[in-house]
Amino acid sequence: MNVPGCPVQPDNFMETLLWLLYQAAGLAPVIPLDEKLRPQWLFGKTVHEGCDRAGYYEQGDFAHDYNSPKCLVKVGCWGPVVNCNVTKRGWMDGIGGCPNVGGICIACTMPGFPDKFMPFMDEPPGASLSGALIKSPYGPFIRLMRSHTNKTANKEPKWRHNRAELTTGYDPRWSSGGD
Amino acid sequence: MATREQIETEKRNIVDMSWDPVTRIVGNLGIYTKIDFDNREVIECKSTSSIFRGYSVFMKGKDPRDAGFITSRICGICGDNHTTCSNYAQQMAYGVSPPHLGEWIVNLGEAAEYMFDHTIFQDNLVFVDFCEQMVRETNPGLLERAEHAEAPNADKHGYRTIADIMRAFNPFEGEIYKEALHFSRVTREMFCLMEGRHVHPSTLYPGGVGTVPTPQLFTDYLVRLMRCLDFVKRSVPMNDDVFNFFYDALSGYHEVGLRRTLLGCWGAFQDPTVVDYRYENMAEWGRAMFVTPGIIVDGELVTTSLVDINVGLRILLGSSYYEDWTNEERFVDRDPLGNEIDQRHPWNQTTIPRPQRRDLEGGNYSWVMSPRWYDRRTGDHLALDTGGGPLARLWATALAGLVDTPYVKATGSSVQMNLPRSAQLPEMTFEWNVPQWSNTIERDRARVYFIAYAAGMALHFVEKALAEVRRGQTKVFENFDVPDEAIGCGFHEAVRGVLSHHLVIRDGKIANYHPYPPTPWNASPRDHFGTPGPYEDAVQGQKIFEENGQENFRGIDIMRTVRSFDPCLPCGVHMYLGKGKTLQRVHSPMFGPNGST
Repeated sequence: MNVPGCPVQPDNFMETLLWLLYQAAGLAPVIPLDEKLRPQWLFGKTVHEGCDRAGYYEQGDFAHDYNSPKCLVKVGCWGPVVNCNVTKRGWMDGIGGCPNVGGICIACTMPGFPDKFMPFMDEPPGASLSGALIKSPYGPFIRLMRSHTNKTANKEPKWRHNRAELTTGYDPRWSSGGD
Repeated sequence: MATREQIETEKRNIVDMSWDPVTRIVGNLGIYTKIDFDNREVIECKSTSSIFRGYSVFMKGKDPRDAGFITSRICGICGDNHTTCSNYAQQMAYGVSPPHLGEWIVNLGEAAEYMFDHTIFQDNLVFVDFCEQMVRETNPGLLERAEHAEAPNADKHGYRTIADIMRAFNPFEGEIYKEALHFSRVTREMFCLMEGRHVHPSTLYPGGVGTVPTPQLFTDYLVRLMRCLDFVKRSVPMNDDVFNFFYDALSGYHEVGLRRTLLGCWGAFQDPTVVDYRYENMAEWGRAMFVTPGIIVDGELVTTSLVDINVGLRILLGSSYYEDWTNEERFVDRDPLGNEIDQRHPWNQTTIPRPQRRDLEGGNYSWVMSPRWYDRRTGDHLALDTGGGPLARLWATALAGLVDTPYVKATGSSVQMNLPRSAQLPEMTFEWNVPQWSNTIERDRARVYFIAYAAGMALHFVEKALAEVRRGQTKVFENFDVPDEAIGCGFHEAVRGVLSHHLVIRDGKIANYHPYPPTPWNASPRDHFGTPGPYEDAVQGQKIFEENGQENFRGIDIMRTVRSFDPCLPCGVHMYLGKGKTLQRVHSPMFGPNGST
């Protein structure tokens, strides 16, 4: 079986080992593995699916250099096509990680790492097409609409104000015909 | 356990003893000695490594921006030191300086790395050699004495006798052993906040970092750092008590691992207000680093200039499994200041591995080459060591007297570290004074003082970084173009000592790349002048203090010496239990055409 990563996320490794020990002792069923013999619950999702920057991708909003807290796909992140849970789990005790904290995913859990994924700091070949699709017009449109709704969501409701009159609709008695 | 073979040499009773691999270190190191048990002395020592890595070979032709990511994989404990050093070299080649905040973030990550790595090595690996169980086996008389020796700093660390401290060192069960494991977790979390992942950072790039510099980031770091200070404040006086006890109780113990003071430090923690990564200004910005680079020969600080250090680098052969490269391509004739660059300089090195049988009797016996520093004053090729890292760093910084921050200050003969009030303990000041010897005990003692140094520096860097953030200076990365032709060099301190990366770019690709980490310096074999490497030199001629006779000999004094250098020869550690005649030169290089006989 395989617990890939360079290096392996330590909790991924220990957790897998523990399952195997339980299995060896007859206390757990056979460990669920994928076709590459990786534990399914650890490597069944992509980096991107667990990344808190994926929302920027969805809105077609990409980082152009590493100063940006937005999606890093255009500056080298392989996250959308890499099987790894580090964006979800963090590096230790939920701290650190890769694209979620500003480090491009260089696909260190994948077969063929590192050569297949170099040069690391360039946009992955497949990303330009999917990036272009999301960028126009879907992503920017969604972003625009959300920013409008976000402005409304950030407003206090009309009934909350400093004026003397009470506009909350307060009425201690049941009034069926009320306005 | 060691392997042994007895040879009757004239009237002396010389026994061959070897430890291969040496355990509780990172990597594959063999130590082969000849011991004169009648006179209780090590007559000869050879240090070998049976592993070839080949980074300098396969880096050729790669995109230079990948160098930091790839070279991190050299090491499973200090990979980030390589990334940092590689980025320094690349920044020189690309002509780019990271924004100040990016530089402070790298410094914070590296400070956490020093705290983490020195602690786990000292408390969980070195102290096993000084723990009650080990001392009972090797020197029962000494343990008896430790039971009655009051610890002078008991009020600071809480252990009444030296033997109490030794019991707390016992692996898996001792209090200090367990506390250190916890400490090393918290410091690694600090590291991950800045560099993303331990041990191969995700957020470091040439040109800066991708770390998101919010106040939250620095708060999370500072909270953990403050929690660590109590442990550091107890560790320093506790280490002093144990090491001073060895000097007091075993007369002459200062001779263990003693060698001529030949120390190198390549400097750490850039000062972003000074560094511009231009080679022409390297001496100046090198001196501004928060650990001062320097070379110390016989107690004298010969230079603090990174240019002098760079120009004097020589990679010698003599006992290593490589072909010479004197007739290979010369990539760099002169540095940008016009200094001649030798063919044996890393910029001009061509690595051609030649696997062969190990020959400890006058032939080649190691995959490690012999890095030396050419001393223009004398014409000597000096086998510098790093003192395990901290000894050289503190020594160079102390003598240079340049570092002056609120928490750490160099005086010209010492380094003062001032740690503020923490959860349990009040403000405390420690002073590391330049020691009389470059020996095993002082290498180990310096390590704990450097943990205090790194903690003090981390406090300084957090304050600097937060000031930038509060001013709105949150840029952490500077863009750059990779030139078609360029050279670069990076100087840094890996946890266990000097680290340099030398880079030559042609047609926008890596034409030559040579990392020189600390262990090639420390573990180097005899060069073609016959000069032994530091491990060899430190062990050779050393007295034996172990109470065991030849039959039950553990070689504790030799192991303490080798481990005091914090050996790191990735990778593969297991214990070899040999018996009898294993010294028939059966094989050595583990891989290659002649390797598996």
